[in-house]
Amino acid sequence: MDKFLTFTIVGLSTGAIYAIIASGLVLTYTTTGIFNFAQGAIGMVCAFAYWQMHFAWGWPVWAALAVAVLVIAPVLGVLIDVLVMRGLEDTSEVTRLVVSIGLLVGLIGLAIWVWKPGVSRNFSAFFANQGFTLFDTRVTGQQALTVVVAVVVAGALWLFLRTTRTGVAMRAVVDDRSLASLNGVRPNVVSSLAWAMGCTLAAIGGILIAPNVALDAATLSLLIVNAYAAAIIGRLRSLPLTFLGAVILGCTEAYLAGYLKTSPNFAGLRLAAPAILLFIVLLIIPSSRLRGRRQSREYFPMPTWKGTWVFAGLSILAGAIMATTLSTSDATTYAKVFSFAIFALSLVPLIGFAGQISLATLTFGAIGALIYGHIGADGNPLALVLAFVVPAIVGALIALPALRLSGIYLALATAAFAVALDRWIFNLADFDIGPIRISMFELGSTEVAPLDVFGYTFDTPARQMMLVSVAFALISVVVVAVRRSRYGRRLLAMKSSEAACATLGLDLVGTKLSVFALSAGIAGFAGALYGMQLRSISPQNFGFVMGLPVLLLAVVGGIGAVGGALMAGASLMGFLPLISTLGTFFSNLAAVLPGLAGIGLGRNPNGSVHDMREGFAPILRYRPAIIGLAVAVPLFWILRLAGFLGNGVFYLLLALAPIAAVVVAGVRVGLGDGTEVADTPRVHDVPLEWKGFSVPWEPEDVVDLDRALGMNEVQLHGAP
Amino acid sequence: MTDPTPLLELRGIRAAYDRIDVLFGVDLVVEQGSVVALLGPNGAGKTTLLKVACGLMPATAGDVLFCGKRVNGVRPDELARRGVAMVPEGRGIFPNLTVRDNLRMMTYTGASLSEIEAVAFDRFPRLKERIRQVAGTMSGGEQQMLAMARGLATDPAVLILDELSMGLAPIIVEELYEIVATVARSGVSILVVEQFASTVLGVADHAAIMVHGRIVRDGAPADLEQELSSAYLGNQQGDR
Amino acid sequence: MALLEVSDISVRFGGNLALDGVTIGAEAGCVTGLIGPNGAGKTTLFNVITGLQPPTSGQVTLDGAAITRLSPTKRARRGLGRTFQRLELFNMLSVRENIRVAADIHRSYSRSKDDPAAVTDAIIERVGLGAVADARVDALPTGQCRLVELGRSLATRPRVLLLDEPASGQDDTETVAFAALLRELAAEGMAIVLVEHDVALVMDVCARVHVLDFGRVIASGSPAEVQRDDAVLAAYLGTSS
Repeated sequence: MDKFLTFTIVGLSTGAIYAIIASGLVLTYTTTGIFNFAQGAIGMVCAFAYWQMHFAWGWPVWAALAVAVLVIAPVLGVLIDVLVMRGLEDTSEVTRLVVSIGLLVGLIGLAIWVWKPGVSRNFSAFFANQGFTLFDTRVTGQQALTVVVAVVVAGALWLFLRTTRTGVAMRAVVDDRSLASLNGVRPNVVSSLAWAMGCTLAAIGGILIAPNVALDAATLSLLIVNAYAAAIIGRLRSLPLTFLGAVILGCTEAYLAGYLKTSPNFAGLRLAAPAILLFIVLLIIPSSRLRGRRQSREYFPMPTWKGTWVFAGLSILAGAIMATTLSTSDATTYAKVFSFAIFALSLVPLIGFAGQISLATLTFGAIGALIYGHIGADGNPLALVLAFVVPAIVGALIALPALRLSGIYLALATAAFAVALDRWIFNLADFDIGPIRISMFELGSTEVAPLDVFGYTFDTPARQMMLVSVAFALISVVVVAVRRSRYGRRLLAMKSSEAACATLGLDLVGTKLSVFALSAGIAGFAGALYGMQLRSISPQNFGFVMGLPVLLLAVVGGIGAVGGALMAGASLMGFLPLISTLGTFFSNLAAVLPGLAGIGLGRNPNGSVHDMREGFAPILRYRPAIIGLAVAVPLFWILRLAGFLGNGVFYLLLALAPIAAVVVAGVRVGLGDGTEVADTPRVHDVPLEWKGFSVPWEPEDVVDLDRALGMNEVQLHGAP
Repeated sequence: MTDPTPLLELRGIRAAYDRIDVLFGVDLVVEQGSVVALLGPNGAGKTTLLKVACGLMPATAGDVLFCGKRVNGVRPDELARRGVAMVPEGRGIFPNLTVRDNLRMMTYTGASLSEIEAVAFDRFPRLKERIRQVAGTMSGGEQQMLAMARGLATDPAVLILDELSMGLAPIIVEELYEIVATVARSGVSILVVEQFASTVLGVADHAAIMVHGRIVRDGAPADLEQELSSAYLGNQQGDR
Repeated sequence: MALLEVSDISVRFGGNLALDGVTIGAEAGCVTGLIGPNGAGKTTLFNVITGLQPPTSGQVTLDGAAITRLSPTKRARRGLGRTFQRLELFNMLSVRENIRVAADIHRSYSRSKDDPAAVTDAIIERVGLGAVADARVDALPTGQCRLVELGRSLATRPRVLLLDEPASGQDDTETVAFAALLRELAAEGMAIVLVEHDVALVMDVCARVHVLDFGRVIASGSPAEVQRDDAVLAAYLGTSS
């Protein structure tokens, strides 16, 4: 009984903190429609700020608390709203999600920059040596404090939302935004306020929970997964249910800690419990109605075969150049460009075509790597096939119950799956299911053998570079084939309107399941290749947090196109490690950059590859530029292989050559345009769009314009 | 006493959704203290016109004048503060808030909650019994009363009512229009859009019929009753 | 027995009865009109028939078989097609691809051996979208978008076709052509239910008209009968006329 009471108190105290964080999450979600993945990261930054002021600089508790909770948090909230979130109107759910994940990744990077990891930071509990006894059970001051604060927060929120005009206005905006604005409410002010309050609650939660866990940026930021489960129990709407959910969650965790045998297999279960609970809750909430059309600014053009073959060829060429010129250690580092590009490629059909979200890419990668590592211990290529098939099946199994969900709920379900595997399953010792022996990472790390095809072993980094770049090129072609096929059209149709697809007789569940399986399979395949490159794999290589930048950069690169995937791989495993070598400042910057890129997505939801292609377009219109490049690149390569050039000069030349080609082609093509304009157009056959500029506008022209635009006349001419 | 400039004037209003024009140069005047009825079949553009008038939607051409001042582009909340109150189509209430919270929303005008409640309950005594009830669970007529009570709480110069009678039983519609008449007598100008023509024509000082984004006829209510049937059901001579 | 039978359907949203015991039928080979003021429940009824909105009570039968418990997908596969008042086009695809997707889906579940590409071309020709077949749909004016939705639905060879305001956004000449197309489709044996605000069009093409008001059918009959009906006049013109 004592034990029960002890753990109940622990549970209530933890639950109280989850409740505070989760209520902030619900507040911002209901008023602004943005699910803030960075809620925990904001709490983390504020906890670090508090630590800095109180423990490092010696400020009194009240001053440090006041600045952290009442100044830093709300200002951060308002800044996030004004600078980041306002630009997200008319964007898809994926974009919104990625922006808030970008914020999460950016804030973690920032925290690591300012507060070096690995340093032990004392963050003692509040009222450390105080406490009292309740029914023979010791209650610490900290535990009592958290419960009191949660009760105060609940009371204050209730009073605010029920009895003040601003609070009522906030609920009114949730009910009916345009009606609220007719009633003197400024929606922008309300959303800034919601962000400020959400961040303040995150800060309170972060500072309260910091003494219980290590003061570590990623750990603290990920506590949100626990808070998410509470918010989902409240269905992202109800604050009382959110508080209830938080208490259930805190107590479950505490009882698991108290009563489960202390075998290693169960230690992980306790850590994974909130994620598993989140998954279960997601499965039992009623399914959403079929969604109809979404307005969005995003558009991904249809890839051409010609462009795809050129792209695949260039990818292999890049692999070949790097394989033949880089040193062994550099090749080891940069070969991962292609394996991560394949990870990103796995998201293209799923997110780009079908509009579904998964945050478990690297988790499926881990499954693929494990399959290959254990079954393909002799480098058997057939194991690679299994590394595709098994994750695909697991992906379908996970997706089957989760597919009733859409958007943010589906994303959370995959996140919960990823975290549960990450924290628990991957850390299990070998176990048997019937006659089959299942091996995980063998409680540490697992060896992965290089691929062996008919006696040819891909055992050097250079060979692996070739292997993975060819694999990337081939899978790119497959993905383009999917996009151009009947199946690909069907996916895009489903993304546009599920309701319309259903009324045409499309099997939505089967279609979603298949694309989920395809994506998981590609990710598993990428995982196997990545595992080969690492030679020895451990759960840390495939952590949930590691996977977020892949999603971020894939979306930033352009999730609708295979080029975006290569760009994601190149930035994550090429560009960022490269600038990290320039010094501490740059390695810190490299940690923040993916986050910043994600945050900036609202400005350009089509992805940057789209812009790059536009930028390089002049080359395609100017044949000498193509010929020049086709001569220059091999020439540089030969000079490098012959030893006339060093790597520094060689790669600089490679980077400059296309830029030079663009500049030259741009000038030439631009001149061509100039001469066309200089020709004075004859009055009678002016292009329609020049009417009014080069010749005077005549009223009769309206008719031509109508016809050209396919508009009907009645609409333009107005009343007779 | 009478002010020569009309309270609300719409001049040559054009508006479009996406690429589709729905208003083709509409003129409408609401004089100080008058009740103007705007009638017409579904899809004529009546609601769009009201949205333009209260700032919820931009006009692609034309002017919106309030008290003689051009107010195109003024945000709806700002117009509401200046005295343009709108009760939108389909109950202008927040269904998940209680009656009291719905009324509390109006305190932005500076009036206290108790003052607003006093005015509202004076006009709509039935709301007083429902004060703690969540608005969405009340009957349709009561919801519409609450919507009007909120519109009037700002002490507006003009009250815009969109489809007041939609989905309500005839007896309740008549009751609501009695209230509209009382409100008008107290000096508030009213612009009301309706499909249920007859009831509103009994209250209006001036009426206009809108078809396909144009005012096809306007004048005294009594003169218009004849034309409505053809405008709505198209069963008499050509209606365009 | 009519091909599509809707019997005693009620839908309750919170405290409001959106549909209150609606019973209508649609015969093969003719166009059935469904009119009524805004908010009368027409689109809700379509959602109930196609399975996007579960009814509180009542039955929907297609060709004598109850389909009330089937998913939208299964209903579509039994021959129920529809268009949407609020357009639900596949924005990222061209006109041709929009229709092709539907033709492919139909091919995947039916025993039809028709080449989906040929079906698509024939439909584009038939609904008159040849000139814009390769344009992206979100570049089209609404009137043409409505034709794309119609064409998409035709590609699944529906036996019952529900059209939700298909003529809004079309100009007069387009409407005339559209009316002719509706008559043709009906003559081929399709049962068409037409929700439309353009009353002239409804009166022109429909054999029977149902009038919906406050979620209830207040009148049913031939266009001429309905136009003379006192309850209809009251619903449209006011309570005391």
